[in-house]
Amino acid sequence: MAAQGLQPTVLDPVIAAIAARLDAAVKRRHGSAARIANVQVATLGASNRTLLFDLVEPGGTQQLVLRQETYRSPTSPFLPPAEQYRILQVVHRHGLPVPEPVFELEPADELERGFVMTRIAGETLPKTLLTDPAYAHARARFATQTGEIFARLHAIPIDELPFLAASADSRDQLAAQVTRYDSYGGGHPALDVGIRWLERHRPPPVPARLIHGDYRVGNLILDATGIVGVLDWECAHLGSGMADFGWVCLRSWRYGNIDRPVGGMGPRSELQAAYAANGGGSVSAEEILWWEVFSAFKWAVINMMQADGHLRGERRSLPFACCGRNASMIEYDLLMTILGHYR
Amino acid sequence: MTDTPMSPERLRALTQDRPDIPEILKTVAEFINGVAGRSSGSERYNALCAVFLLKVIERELAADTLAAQSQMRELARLTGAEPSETEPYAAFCASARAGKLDAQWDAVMAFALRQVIDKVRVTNPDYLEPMHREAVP
Repeated sequence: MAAQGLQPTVLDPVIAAIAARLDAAVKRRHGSAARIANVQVATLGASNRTLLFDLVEPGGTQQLVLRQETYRSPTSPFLPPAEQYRILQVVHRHGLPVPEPVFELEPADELERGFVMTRIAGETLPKTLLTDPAYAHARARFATQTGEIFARLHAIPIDELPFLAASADSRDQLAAQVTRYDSYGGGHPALDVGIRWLERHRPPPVPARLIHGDYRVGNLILDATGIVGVLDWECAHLGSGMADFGWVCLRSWRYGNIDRPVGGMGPRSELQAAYAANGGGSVSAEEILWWEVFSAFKWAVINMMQADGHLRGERRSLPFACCGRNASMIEYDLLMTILGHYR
Repeated sequence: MTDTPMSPERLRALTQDRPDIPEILKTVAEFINGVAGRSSGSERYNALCAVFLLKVIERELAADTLAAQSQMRELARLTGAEPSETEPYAAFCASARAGKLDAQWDAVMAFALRQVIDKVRVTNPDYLEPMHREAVP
């Protein structure tokens, strides 16, 4: 997890109270000799709070991570922590680079809903990953490695995660996002034109795969060798494997390197070749284009959701207020992608 | 004398006292920029967000009313009705989504793009491709 992203080590009262309960939670599971140390706030993201801490036991120290749900709403598009935990267990068992799940929170912990997982050493900050010479090798491998990871992820038998089939996103990604868009007020010309384009150009149905749903720089841990951890599984669902292709190539996730579509680091050709070489199969340019346009729509709707949470007063936040205005830039990307740009 | 809506420029002129709105925005932005420079972590991030939002206000106040009027004329032409005062895009959005404007798809795309460009000029004009940075006539 990103060392540079850490906040000062003096804990505010809310975090200190969480740390005290976390200490009790580890004692309950690991015995009274266990304790926690070095608690730090890594991120306070859209749907989760992430705390880093050390589990200190007589036999040694482990670096762990607490993920706590901070946003719970009947209309939340994010999977509950218990389902994220199940996904981590399955994906970890299949050997993908993810943190190992350690324990789930229980009501007796008085820590709301969440889980503890191992900490993978490395960097997550996009600016560092895209510019620091220390990550030059990792950047050069990024598109190929992403193709390998997608092929392995999309090969996981979906019957190992039966609960995912019931989610709105698994049933129909477009319908799920349109419902959310309308619930945040709708009425944006570019997005309604985008919905019409998406409906008229829907690719034929394909077998459902396990989709990460938010695979991009920022949700990945890299070290000098390349990608070592895939984080943030709260958007996982079942669907076309091309959904992950479209998302990682979104202009927003190129962080200014528009001519390097795969995460701002590499070309599509390497992503697609690695996917095919690892059993993922061939991909169609039309299908990927559809998922890129869809990804822009989904990202605009998520930004509207953040602004909606701010304006309703449920989650007051300056960054969420900015999200409401930032949606216009994503709408621009959506239309420009339909018009043949950012290919 | 009949009551007609007063333009924002006229209203601002009547306020008279300095600093005016753009000057106040500049003053507050200078202060918050200073806070951003002295802080780190989430406080710095929040300060930068606040400066961004002040910039949005500044650009929205300076937005081109002629461009807005021409956008409304194009909207009326596409939908065949005057846009609603409070929800000017509602009829266009409903028709576009329902496929009722498919026959004029190129014009629909062109309108949606120019509406978005007008919005991004307020949010973050540097985000636009060079071909979209000049004002639409």
